[in-house]
Parts: sequence; C-alpha cells; structure tokens
Amino acid sequence: MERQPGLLRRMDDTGIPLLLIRLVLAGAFISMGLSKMLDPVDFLKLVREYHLLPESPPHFLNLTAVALPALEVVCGVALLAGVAVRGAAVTFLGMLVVFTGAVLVRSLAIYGQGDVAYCAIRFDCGCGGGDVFICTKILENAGLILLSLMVVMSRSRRFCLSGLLSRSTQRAAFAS
Amino acid sequence: MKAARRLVLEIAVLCVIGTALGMSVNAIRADHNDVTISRNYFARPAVAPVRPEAIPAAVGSPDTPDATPGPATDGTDKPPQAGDNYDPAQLGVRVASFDEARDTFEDPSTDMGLCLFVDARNRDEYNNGHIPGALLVDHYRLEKYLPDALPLIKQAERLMLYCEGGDCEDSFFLAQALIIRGVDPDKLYIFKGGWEQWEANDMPIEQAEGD
Repeated sequence: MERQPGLLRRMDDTGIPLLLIRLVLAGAFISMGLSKMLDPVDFLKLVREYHLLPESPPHFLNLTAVALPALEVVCGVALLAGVAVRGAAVTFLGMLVVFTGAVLVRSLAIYGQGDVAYCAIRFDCGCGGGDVFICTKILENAGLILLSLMVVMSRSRRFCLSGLLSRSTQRAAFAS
Repeated sequence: MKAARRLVLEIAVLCVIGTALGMSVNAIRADHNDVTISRNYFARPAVAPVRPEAIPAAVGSPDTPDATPGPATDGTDKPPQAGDNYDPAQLGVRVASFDEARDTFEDPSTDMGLCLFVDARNRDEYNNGHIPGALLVDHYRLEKYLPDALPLIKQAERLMLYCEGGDCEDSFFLAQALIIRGVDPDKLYIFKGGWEQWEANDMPIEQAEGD
C-alpha cells in the first residue's frame, strides 16, 4: 500500500508556501542590497567596524563593500524569478549566519561595556536599514534564516521559471 | 552527488554575477560616489609619529596671530586611552576640547577665514546641520572636495577638523590626508567631541542644500 504524503509535503507540493517565502526573502534582500548599493562608502565604513576583514591590503574590504550588496540583489532577483532557487537560498543562509554572528559579537562587546540593557542596544549594523535595536535585528535574522532553510528543503518548483522551463523541455522531448 | 554539484555551480554563478554587477555599478557611478578598490581608506599614519612631548604646548606659534585664542594641548599630552581607535598625536595633531572649539568659533579671526572649521562627514550629514561656516571635506571623496577646499585650507592659520564625535575617525583620516598634501600639522586640531557635542551644547548650527 502506497504511503500518503504528509500534510507539510502536500502543502509544499502546491508551490504556494514556497512562492510566498520567495517573495518575502526576495523583497527583504533586494531592498537591503539596493539601499547599501546607494551609498557604498557608508557600507564600507560599516563593514570595517566588524573587523572581519584585513584593512591592508584594502582590496578584500573594498571588494566586499562593492560586491556584497550586488550579490544580495542578484540572489533576490533569482529567488523572485525562480531560477537557481536553492543556490540563492543557500547563499542567503550563508550570509545570514555570518552577519548574525558578527552582529551578535559586536552587540555583546557593547553590552560588556555596561550601562545599557542588551535589548536597548541600538546601532547601524550595515544591514541596510539604518539604526536598529539588536534584539529586533536578531529576531528578524532568525526569521530569515528559517525561511531560507524552508526554501532549501522545499521540493516544489511550481511558479519557478526553472520549473516551467524544465517542464516545457520535457514536453517537447516527449512530443518529439 | 549530482544535486550537490548543481548547488555549488548555482552558488558560484550567482557569486560571479553579483560581483560583476557590483563592479560594473561601481565603475559607472558618478559624482565620486564609488569605492576605489585599491585605495586604503583607513590607512594608519604614513607620516613619522610625533611623540606627545614634541607637540607645542600652546598656540601662538610664529605663524599664528596672538590675538587668536588657540586650543591648549588638551588630550594630546595624555597617552591614548583604552578604546581609543586612533591617536591624533601620531600625526602631530592636537586635540581640541569643546571649550576650545567654541572659543575658536567665537574668535573674529574665524570670520576672516584665518581659522577654519572643516567638516569631515558626508554630504547628507553636513546638509542636515554643521558648524556655521564649516567647509565640507568628506575624507572618502577627497577628489571631489579637495580641489576647491585645499587653497582655503592652506591659507588658513588654524584648522579645526571634526566629524560626528564619539568614536568617529573621519577627522583623523582627513588630518592625515591633509598632512600628506603638505598642510602643516601645527595648524591642525581635531575637535574630538565633534558634531554630537556641538549640537548637545546648543551651539549655532547651519544647514545646507544640494550637492
């Protein structure tokens, strides 16, 4: 007897949850990427404050400030269009894990100086939205990480350009 | 295995396209709003460090009129504090307190252009509010601002550089850039409290428009 797929799997097969998640993730990353692209010098200064990359030679730091926002936009567009969906989601996941770790380390350093409650810590994390409260940012990133994981795990390719293309290729092959 | 290979390929292609897009946008960006990949915007002093005791104790040097109240050596004769991101003494530049910045601002020589406030922040911050009469020289866009600003800077007898305040380092980097371009470090003061302290003390401010 054939086993019925679970509720989550059946929901995933409709493609609607994935479509909604793709829209949310793409919207978030495209807007964050574009806002950083508008002022790359400002973003460069913010990236430097994390001390993750060497200042000398300057190429790593400068290239990161130039390329990272564009990568966010490209991955957002890919997700929106439904092309290289899993690759874009894994890229988001990698970026989010690194960013969240860096923001956590920096916020703990500020907290270690005393005088302020952890959730009252507020700074421009270079995430593209100006000053943010740290707890809000961590919750937001946790949500985005969860959504990215759901995209990675999803099997559905409905409402994806890549799915449409592969289906029409299959149909053409079948017809011939 | 095939799926993993495809995933790696997808990520690689996205990274290449992202980098290419970023570099292309950066290359065609107008108005000096680009990042020069090979430029070290945060270079540490390229000039020989000056020990604090070598810094003149007070203004009133031969090329500074006595009538001009000058900042004392506040801060420069102290060793760098833990948490200081930079040390102006490395450049032979003095640190000015708020009182010294205010005295300089109120001195008639400032109106005559002999003392000049130089704002090292960006255009948006400058437009939102700056010390009246301050010259905008964004350290990250020197090519845009220096051609017009450098003659005025070289004419002035005292330059009070400031940025946002707190831990901001832009005035330090600007001081370094000016010294490299031949400005005498003895003329340079860094108002470390910066814009935040100026504004917090209800001092006069000026706003600007445009680019």
